[in-house]
Amino acid sequence: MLFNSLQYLIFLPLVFALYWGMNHRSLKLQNLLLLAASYYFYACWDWRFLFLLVFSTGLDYYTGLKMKDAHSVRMKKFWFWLSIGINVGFLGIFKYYNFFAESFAELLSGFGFQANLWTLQVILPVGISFYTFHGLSYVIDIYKNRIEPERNIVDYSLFVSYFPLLVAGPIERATHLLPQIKKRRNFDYTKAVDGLRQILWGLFKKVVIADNCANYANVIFENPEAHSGSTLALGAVFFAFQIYGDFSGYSDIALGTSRLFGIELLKNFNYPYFSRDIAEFWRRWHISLSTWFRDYLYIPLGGSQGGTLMKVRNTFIIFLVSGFWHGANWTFIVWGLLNALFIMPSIILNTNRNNLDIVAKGKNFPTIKELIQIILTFGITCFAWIFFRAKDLDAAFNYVKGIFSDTFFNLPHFAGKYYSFGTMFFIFLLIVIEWLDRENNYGLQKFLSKKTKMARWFFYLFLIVFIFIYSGQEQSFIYFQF
Amino acid sequence: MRKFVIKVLFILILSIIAILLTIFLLNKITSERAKFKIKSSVTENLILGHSQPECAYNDSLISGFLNLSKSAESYFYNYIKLRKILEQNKGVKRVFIEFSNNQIEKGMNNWIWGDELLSERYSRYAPFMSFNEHLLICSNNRIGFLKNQPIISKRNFEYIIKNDYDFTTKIGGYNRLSRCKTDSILKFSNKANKVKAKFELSRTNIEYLIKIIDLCEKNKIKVFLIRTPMHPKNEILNNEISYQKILKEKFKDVDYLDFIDFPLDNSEFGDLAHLNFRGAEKYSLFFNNLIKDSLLFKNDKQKMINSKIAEFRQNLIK
Repeated sequence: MLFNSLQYLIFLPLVFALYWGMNHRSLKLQNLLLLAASYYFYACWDWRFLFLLVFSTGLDYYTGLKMKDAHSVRMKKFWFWLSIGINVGFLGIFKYYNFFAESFAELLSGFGFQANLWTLQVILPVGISFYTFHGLSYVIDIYKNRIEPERNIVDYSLFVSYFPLLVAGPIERATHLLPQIKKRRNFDYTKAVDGLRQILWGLFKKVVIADNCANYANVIFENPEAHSGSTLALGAVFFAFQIYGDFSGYSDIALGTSRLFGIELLKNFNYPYFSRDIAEFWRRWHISLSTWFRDYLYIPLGGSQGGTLMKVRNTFIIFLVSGFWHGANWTFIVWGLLNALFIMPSIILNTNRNNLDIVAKGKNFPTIKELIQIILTFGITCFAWIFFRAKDLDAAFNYVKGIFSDTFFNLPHFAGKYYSFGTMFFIFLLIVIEWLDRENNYGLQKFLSKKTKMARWFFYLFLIVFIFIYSGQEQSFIYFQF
Repeated sequence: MRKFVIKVLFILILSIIAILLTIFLLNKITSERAKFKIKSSVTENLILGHSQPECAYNDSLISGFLNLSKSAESYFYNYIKLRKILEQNKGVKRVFIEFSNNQIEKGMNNWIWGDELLSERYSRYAPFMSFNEHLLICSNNRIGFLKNQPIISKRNFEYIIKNDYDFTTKIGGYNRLSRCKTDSILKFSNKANKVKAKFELSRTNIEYLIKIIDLCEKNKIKVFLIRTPMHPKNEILNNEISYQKILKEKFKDVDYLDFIDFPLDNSEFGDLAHLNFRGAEKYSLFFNNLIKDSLLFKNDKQKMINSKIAEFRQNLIK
């Protein structure tokens, strides 16, 4: 069930009505309803993978309790590694087995050996990377004595499977979400309205920006040889807005939906395209994953404690793993590597924490220097996105070669060029609104709040109308494949 | 909570009104600006129908004819298209409508409101449809009707962005089929077990054919039902008895031109239903000669067609 589908339009109000309808009864019942709704939501994709989700949940719940009750460090370690091993094992089998098998066969054939390795013909269970990381953080936190294990199976299952975040995050932490699940929630009018507004903004980003940009990015990326350098560069920009609209749009809908149920989720995006350097970009893009890697990989590896060399090594590791997390393809690994290279100067010069504040805070416009920094950061991000989007490394390198050809100064030309002017207008609108709202939680939160109610409502209706117009294409979210 | 529900309902009602208004306005703009004006040299004779005439009539070889057939287009959409064409082209004198064996079958209903074709056909013609025509789609496929509203609006919005309202290039034309799969299809179908499907009539499609005829009569335009050549082994010909019955019962007053026996080799068919470009060329030239020989003004047209086909066959043998 997609957030941008007719099905969800019926599902959400129904769950909302039942949820608040039983508010006066008990919290347990509310949580049970949310869990049942989450399992139904997940089963709409493929009910068979529900067993995997339930098994993974049960495993972490059980090992969590066993770790707590373990009488010796050895037993605690045993349960810890059992959970980690099975979780990572599932991820490895479903997501990475074919990649390793094929890469190994290629390597062997490079040495003149013929290897016919068995590959799996299975589809990737939707959201497996996300719920596995939920479970991993929970188990690691118990092992490190940061949290107590959750004894209520319904509450724990809801923490793993809560439908707004189940298939594409944000990747939650037990310390943040579980206390909210266990606490009685009261309906808050202001928060609920804010949730609806965030859903509206997320839908706009997904349906109007991402799905439209996808049309042009697909045309250009699928046939790069037929396009000029300038068109290819524009294709990369379209993809940059596609992936931003798609993923941050999804996150906005998830956060907004959750707010309707009185639960706050972790912020996942913080206007990343207004970043002044790549380190700032990574503090603002897919925040829940970046912080997950920081807390569970970077810091355990030594973080920035062991001098510059250690920092460089750990940064490379974290970006390579992050690239690999996105998918079993060399393109993602190179994408991670490129980002590590981009961030490296600031790591070595220790300037990676220079831009911690909000750009041009309290001002209407950035300075020339800030504007140049933003454009440059966006430019190198787009360059890396080419590797993320391309089907393989050859295609990515050819694409880059195509950009830097003598046709770079030709006027861009591609199928559907005239229709793209509408999309460009909406991209411009997105930039303006997000710029004006960059000091708030999401675009649109305070947009036009100083204007009359009429003006604000008129603008919301304008967004609704365009979401409706473009909703016919109903495309899946990119991050579902991860 | 109450305040929230009231507010949501209010937003919902406002949104529905805004969306309905958008659908209406975009349809209205497209309908008013749409150009169906055909070049005056070819407006006299129009050919309408589905993929069979689309592939059979190479109108560059038939003087004064314009092939406006479109694959998988039912009489329902033919009618809406013709209505718009006649509004803007006063020079049309004759309309040739394909009347083939599959066009009476119940499967045609899917061509009107079935999910597979709805997003293409309905979204193309929606701006020109009456309330009752929309209602027909809605009553037979509610979900499809709803799902297609944004597709229709997007299409209309794109016409506005591109300022492109020329529909003459969007509503059909001769389709040059280059494939020739007849032999392989026959080889396969000989081996396969044939199960003869029970014949069921598409009342809606027939109803709209009658509407096309009425529309032409109202505009003082001569109508001809025409059957283009088909491969004799096409299974759709199994309903021939029902086909002839409907032809006699419902369309006895309409001129009927049957070319089903026109001699063509397997190599001149794209498959069992469609002529490829070789077949189209051969048939279109033959058809053009018949028109030049004043076929349309003869009393017994079918007799002339049959004798010309026999003559043509004799010449081929020689």
